[in-house]
Amino acid sequence: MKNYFARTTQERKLLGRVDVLIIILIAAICVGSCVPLFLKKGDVTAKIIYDGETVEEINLSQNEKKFTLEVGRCDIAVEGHEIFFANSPCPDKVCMNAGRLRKSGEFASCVPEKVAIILKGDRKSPDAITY
Amino acid sequence: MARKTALAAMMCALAIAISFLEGLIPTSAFLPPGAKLGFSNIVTMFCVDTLTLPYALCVTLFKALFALMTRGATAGVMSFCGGMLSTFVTYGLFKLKNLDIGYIGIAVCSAVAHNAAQLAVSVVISGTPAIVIYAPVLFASSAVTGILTGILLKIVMPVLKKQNRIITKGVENL
Repeated sequence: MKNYFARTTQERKLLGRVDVLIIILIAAICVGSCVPLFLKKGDVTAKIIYDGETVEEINLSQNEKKFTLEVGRCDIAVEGHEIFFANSPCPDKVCMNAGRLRKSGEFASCVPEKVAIILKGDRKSPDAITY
Repeated sequence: MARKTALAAMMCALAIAISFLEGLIPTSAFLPPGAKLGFSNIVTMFCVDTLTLPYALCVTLFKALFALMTRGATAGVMSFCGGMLSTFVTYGLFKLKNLDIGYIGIAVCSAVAHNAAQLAVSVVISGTPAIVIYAPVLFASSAVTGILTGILLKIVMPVLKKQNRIITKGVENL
């Protein structure tokens, strides 16, 4: 127990070599994992997941209609190429603050209500085909 | 010991006040939804550095209780798990000798640990492993806010340490 009460204080600088390494590493991971998602061309499909299971898949690129879906206790609205949380009974409203989603790789989730929307690009339409 | 406990109580109040005040700052323009500035992490890091681990864990616990009362059970559990992991990571990094790591690196690691634990909790609560897709966005934002809190910690450290000395030793012993 004594060890826990030992002070750790020592003079410390603001930025060391390890700090720079950490930041570069995080930046590399983020860019590396995000770029493929956002670069995907073709139709955008919205996947609505409730309690770990996909309950609905909507092709947003082809969609022109306006409608609202009830998933759990949340209302998810689809307006043309956009999808968003219209209403949710959760306390912090993170899902609604995520705003309107339209691009591949975008994501919104209401953790207390177990609802998530994930937008994915369609692999079936590649950027270019060479023979 | 009593003075230290009093100081820890003050730090709890400070952490709670900061986390409430930062909630008033609209962050939707420059941070992804769900991400927070994490300024109250400055208080936890200060506690780990000068007040030792048990006190820092107390501050984290009170922060989680505050989140539980004001923002509901999900926020409470997420704050607890995130806070605990980030406090242990901070403690480990402060303890490591011979490592060229500064306040920024510690703050970034602590923020990443906080977000990683919260993401893990939200995967468990929502039963949706697919939301791990959010990890890169969260880690990027924790790198940015970590740099910010690291700089702030470096600035406020001398001031807080002076206050710390006054409270734990008394003005007469300065």
